[in-house]
Amino acid sequence: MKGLWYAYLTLNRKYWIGAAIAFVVVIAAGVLIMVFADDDPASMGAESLMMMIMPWVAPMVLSEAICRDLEANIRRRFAQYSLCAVTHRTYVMFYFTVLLATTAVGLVLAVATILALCGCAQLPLTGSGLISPDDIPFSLFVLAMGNVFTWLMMPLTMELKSHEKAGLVGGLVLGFGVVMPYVLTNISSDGGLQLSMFTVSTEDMLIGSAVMAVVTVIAWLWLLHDVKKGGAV
Amino acid sequence: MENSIEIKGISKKYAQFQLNDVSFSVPCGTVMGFIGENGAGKTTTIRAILGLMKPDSGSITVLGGEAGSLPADVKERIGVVFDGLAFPETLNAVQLDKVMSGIYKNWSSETFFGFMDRFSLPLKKKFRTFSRGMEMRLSMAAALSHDPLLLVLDEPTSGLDPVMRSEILDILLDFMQDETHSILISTHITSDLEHIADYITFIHKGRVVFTEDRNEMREKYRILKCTEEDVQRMDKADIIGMKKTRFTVEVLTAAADKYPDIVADVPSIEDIMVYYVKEG
Repeated sequence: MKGLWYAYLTLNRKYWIGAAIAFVVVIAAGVLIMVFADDDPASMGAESLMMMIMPWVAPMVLSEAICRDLEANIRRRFAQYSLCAVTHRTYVMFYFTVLLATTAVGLVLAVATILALCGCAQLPLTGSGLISPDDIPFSLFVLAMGNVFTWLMMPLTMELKSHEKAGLVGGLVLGFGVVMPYVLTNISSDGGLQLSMFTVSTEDMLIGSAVMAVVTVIAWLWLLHDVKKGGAV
Repeated sequence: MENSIEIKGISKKYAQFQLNDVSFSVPCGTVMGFIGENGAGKTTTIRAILGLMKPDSGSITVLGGEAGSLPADVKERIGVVFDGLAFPETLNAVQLDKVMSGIYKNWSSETFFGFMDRFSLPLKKKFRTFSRGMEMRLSMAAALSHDPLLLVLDEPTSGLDPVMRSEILDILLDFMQDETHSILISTHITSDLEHIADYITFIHKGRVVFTEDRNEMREKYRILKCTEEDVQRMDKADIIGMKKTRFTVEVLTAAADKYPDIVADVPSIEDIMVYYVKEG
């Protein structure tokens, strides 16, 4: 597995560099938004929403590398070569460890982004921020969900031999099946979005985590089945 | 272990193609030439041997284990060359050495760099700048650098000039000096097999036509230079394949003894393959 890790890190260096750049750019952009923002946090739905999204940017750049790597390895047949040397289970385990490592680094980046934005930028007059440490649990929860989604895209990428197609299918299912119903059920009577919808109770997080664990296992078994079947590689 | 590879009745159905009841064995210490025209099923069979494809039925044993679930220590003893570069083209040889040493426990950097030097391959150039011949040489170098017992080679000499092909064949002969080693080599360039193969398996339209000892093939098959009358009086069952030229009819047969009055030539492996395909 060490060799696969070396190959992964070497071949996907651009994503790690990209994530580092995104991390810096996001903090700079966040500070600028705060500096030029109106003083009343209540009237800044769009800005608050952007702040909410910012911690996810750099981690998502890292997550993108996982499926891209699988797709590239299938196309350049390095996946075939690797599977001639390691067992099917080891191959799936390798990608799972990549996912875990990426998630861990992503969580650290997200927390660092939130803390940096809290520390660097307050609204000029009120002195309050558009993002606070209270947002960390929700941010990390969504980030973990994003990485579980990435993991679910792995077998789909193998089946379709394309990360774009897998992303399209997965995106449509996620968009229409999860995000849209969630937004619609949380829309306020005057038709606007409530920022309160971006908070999740501890109970919801526990249920969500259990669902994520089940989805992770299903995706694992699906990926292992695809690798064993061998149609795609 | 009597056979390095043992294939029993494997079948696999695709929309456009079917592998049908394929069976053959590669005895330990021998070289098996695997021949057939494009799309005959060679690569599909090799993928099944390597556990990259699960057949619908049948069984494959490789180095004593079931092909689909070989443990890592057995897999490590199989050297593989695909019919194209299987390494990321943004890597160079030094980086590949690091990748491989992390994959194969028996990986020898010394052997690998020795082959790189012998094949005149650059160490720091990215593989994307390599020619087809360089890619194949690199693949051979990698396959031979982790102390394999079995080499599975899919068209390893295609795209190579005669000098380099000869060098590769010499390396394979060196490899075969150890009698525990075996090679399965699929190739279009059947003349390569004349020098190294102990057995030949011929696959045609997803079916194995024959698996035969190369020396016995030399004794068994003949091309008879017939007239039309000769062909008429021949037993149709004796005619494997036929090719009409301007003045004669050339007939491939395994029963030349029955026609001692007809001039006979010893066919090459390529001749045998071509005649079988034409008849088919």
